[in-house]
Amino acid sequence: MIEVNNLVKNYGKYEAVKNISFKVEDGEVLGFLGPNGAGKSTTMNIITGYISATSGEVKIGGYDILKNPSEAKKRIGYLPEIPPVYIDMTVTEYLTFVADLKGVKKAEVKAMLADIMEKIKITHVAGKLIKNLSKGYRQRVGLAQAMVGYPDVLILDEPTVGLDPKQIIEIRDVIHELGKTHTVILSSHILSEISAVCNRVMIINKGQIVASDTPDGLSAKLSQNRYRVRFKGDEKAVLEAFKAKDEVTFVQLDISDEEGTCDILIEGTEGTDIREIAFEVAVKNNFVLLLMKSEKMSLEDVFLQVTENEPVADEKLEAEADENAEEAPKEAEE
Amino acid sequence: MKAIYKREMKMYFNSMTGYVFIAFFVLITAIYFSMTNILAMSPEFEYVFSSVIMMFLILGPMLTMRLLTEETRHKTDQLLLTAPVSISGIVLGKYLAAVTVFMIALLITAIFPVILSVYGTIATAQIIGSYLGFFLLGSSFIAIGLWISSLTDNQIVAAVGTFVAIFLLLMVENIISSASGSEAFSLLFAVILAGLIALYFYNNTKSKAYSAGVFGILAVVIAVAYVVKPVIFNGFAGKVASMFAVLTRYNYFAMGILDLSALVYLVSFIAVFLYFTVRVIEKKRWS
Repeated sequence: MIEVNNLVKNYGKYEAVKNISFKVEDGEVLGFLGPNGAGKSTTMNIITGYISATSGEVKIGGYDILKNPSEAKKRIGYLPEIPPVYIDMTVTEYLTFVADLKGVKKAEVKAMLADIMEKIKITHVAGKLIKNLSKGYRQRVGLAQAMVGYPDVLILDEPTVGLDPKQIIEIRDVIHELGKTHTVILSSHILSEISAVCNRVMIINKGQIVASDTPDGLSAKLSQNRYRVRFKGDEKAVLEAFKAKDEVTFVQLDISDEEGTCDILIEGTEGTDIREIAFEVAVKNNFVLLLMKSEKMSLEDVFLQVTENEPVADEKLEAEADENAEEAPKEAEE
Repeated sequence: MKAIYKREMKMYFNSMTGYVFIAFFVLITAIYFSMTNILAMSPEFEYVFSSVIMMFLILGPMLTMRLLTEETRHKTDQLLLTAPVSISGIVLGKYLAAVTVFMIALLITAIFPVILSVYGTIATAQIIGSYLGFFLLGSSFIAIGLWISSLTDNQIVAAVGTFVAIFLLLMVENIISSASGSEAFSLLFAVILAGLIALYFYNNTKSKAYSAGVFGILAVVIAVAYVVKPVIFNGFAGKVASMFAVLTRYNYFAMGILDLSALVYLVSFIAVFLYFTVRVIEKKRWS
């Protein structure tokens, strides 16, 4: 449904998006995850045709956003970071205007708006001026606006920002529901939200895709073979003992919630069962082993890990992006 | 385009702007009408418009200052630009709405010549010409105002900018003709013009060497022309200024002459500024 190829966006010398490529299949719910300024909004703005990329192409349902903008845009509903509402209109007036703008047939407008307002639960504020609505309701009106015309693709930039916990859950349910019939891209830096509604997560950092997988797959991939082991007694001796072992590739002291004990996180080389090593160490040094459990990384940990140290695989991409950046001025000179 | 036109019309008449504009315009016209026609017992209605033209300094910005500035400020341009409408559709919708409000006001004032015609003979050609000319003149100013409102996201800046632009257009001939006696002045004017062109290049390319080159070439051309044939500079500033003299074109209409070149001039003036507006919005997407 959505195809993004080699997208680059430069603001002067600053590279906001560095050669991003991905595909979103029909009915998929894709989550963009990344710290502030990672390029999430820029990427979304390019996909929806609000701004143009420096290079690269975007196709929506086979239509290029630059070459065939009106066909491509017909298929997209977009909720930007700040809901694009006219504060001096009432909710109904505003949504009718949007329907008009998107070319919805006159006869269908009324039923469509009623249906959407029902789904988003804004029917009771339909006659109010948007100026008088709270941030949460404006956000909902923004979401309703994106749904007008029932586009195939919904692109939602941080849809739950500024909502209270109850509203967040409600909106999340709505998105979950929409995900069954629509292709959705949503961005967020709230990780629980992403793992709750998305089939696939893409982590973006400094304008690059640093990881892309299902929420479970992502944490599984990065947490293979990591165990939390708890011993009674001196943490230093325990650390030393593990560091001495060749099969152990990763040792880290962690906080234990039990008095007089220490927790360490360990990982082994591929093919070794780290649990056996832990047992060996314990027996040899007479450590009292209290607990041993597989340490699955939460999405938070994955996020922090991939955004702090970029994977090796992306250096190639970066090199390509640099080449592109060098080529661009040459073309301009010609 | 239709959706945007409808929304803009609603905005004009939901807020006070539309009513205030119409009321103000009709009131001013009525005052001049009373003075020049009724009290002076004269049937020459076209003089009324000549006086009202100055009011455009205030009325023009009033109509246009909000049009595009507010979209950028409230980020609602994100809705318009990601909807399946073309940029020219957006610009045209907004422009036509402003022109419609202006036209409504103008039509209301048509009652004055009708009153005159009851009590005497009126110069129909001059009056119809005045109306057509005044409509085109006002529409040109609205086009400039729309363009200026696309350049900034601040209403006040847009209003002041439009005021200055309209002022310059109304005054350009007076200013230049009173100063353009000497060739030296024309030379200075040409150099300033070259500087402005270089600045425009710099703004678009951000390349200092390139813009300096453009300025250098233009300067050489000017110098050579001045040495070889200084006669060109005789009245050069005046010639350039007359290109922007919208008022001269209006005067043809007011005299009751349907001058095709004046008509084409004003219509293309509007088209050029609407095109500029589209370009400005387009450029924002690429920068």
